[in-house]
Amino acid sequence: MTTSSDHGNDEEKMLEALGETWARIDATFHAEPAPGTDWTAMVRERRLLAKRKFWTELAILWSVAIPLLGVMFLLITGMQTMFWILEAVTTATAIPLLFAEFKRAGRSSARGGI
Amino acid sequence: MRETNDQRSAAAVPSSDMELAVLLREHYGMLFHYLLKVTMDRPLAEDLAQETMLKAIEHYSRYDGRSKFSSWLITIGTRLHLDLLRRRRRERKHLTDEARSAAFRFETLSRGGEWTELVESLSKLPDDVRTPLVLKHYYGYTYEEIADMMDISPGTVKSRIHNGIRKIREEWKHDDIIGPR
Repeated sequence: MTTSSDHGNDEEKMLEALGETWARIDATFHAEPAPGTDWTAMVRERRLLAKRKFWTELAILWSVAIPLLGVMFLLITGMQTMFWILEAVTTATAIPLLFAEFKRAGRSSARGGI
Repeated sequence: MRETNDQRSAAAVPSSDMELAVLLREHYGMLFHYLLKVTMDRPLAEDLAQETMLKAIEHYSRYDGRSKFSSWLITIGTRLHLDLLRRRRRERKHLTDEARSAAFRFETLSRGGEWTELVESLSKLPDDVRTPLVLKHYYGYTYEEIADMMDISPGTVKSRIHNGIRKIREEWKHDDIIGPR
């Protein structure tokens, strides 16, 4: 008959063996990181890319915001024709931009976004 | 294990490219070994480690230094791995567990390592069960920390760890069974 203390000892022993097994896996597979210069170049390149991405997104934001603000202004001042022209231009520009952004977000999440 | 793996203070947040590069390089081995234990697939662990490093650089501004850098990297790596598993399940593009286990077994033996009953049992566990098991019993994270890393509830973490241990215990009996195959 097995008691709860036998059960506990067994589990403790098994966990100890598991720890040793994982340590052996670590020892079997050596990790060899690339030279330091490669890492610095990689960090520099990725940060540059991130910066570019930030400015592109900022540009997209303002290219949508400015016409919208213009439309609001025209709406307030009562210029009906100009309002509808701007509304059409904004819609024609914003829809493809939105689609492109959704596609990009989809691709990014497929690559494993965090 | 967790303390010996990461002696760096959480408060030391590097600012220059070179400092960050040094920090990432120092942590590469730890991250690769974590992903290897979780995936039991060397090429996949290398790919995920590389991808984790790129994500870490990209999202570095979000790292506030409150948690250890190694924990932050492990969180990114874990989520990338889980995302990959979900995607593979959706696309039905995964190798069978047996094929993956056979490849890992071959590589372990060809590197002079041992393939024990325990490694065999571990390789049979689903990845989303092996992950919390490694995080809890090798790295010493709490259920809550693991839940946060895996984006699941602490109760689910507990039950996955419990199930993992039960499955291994079913195959693992006594010391003599741990000998090499």
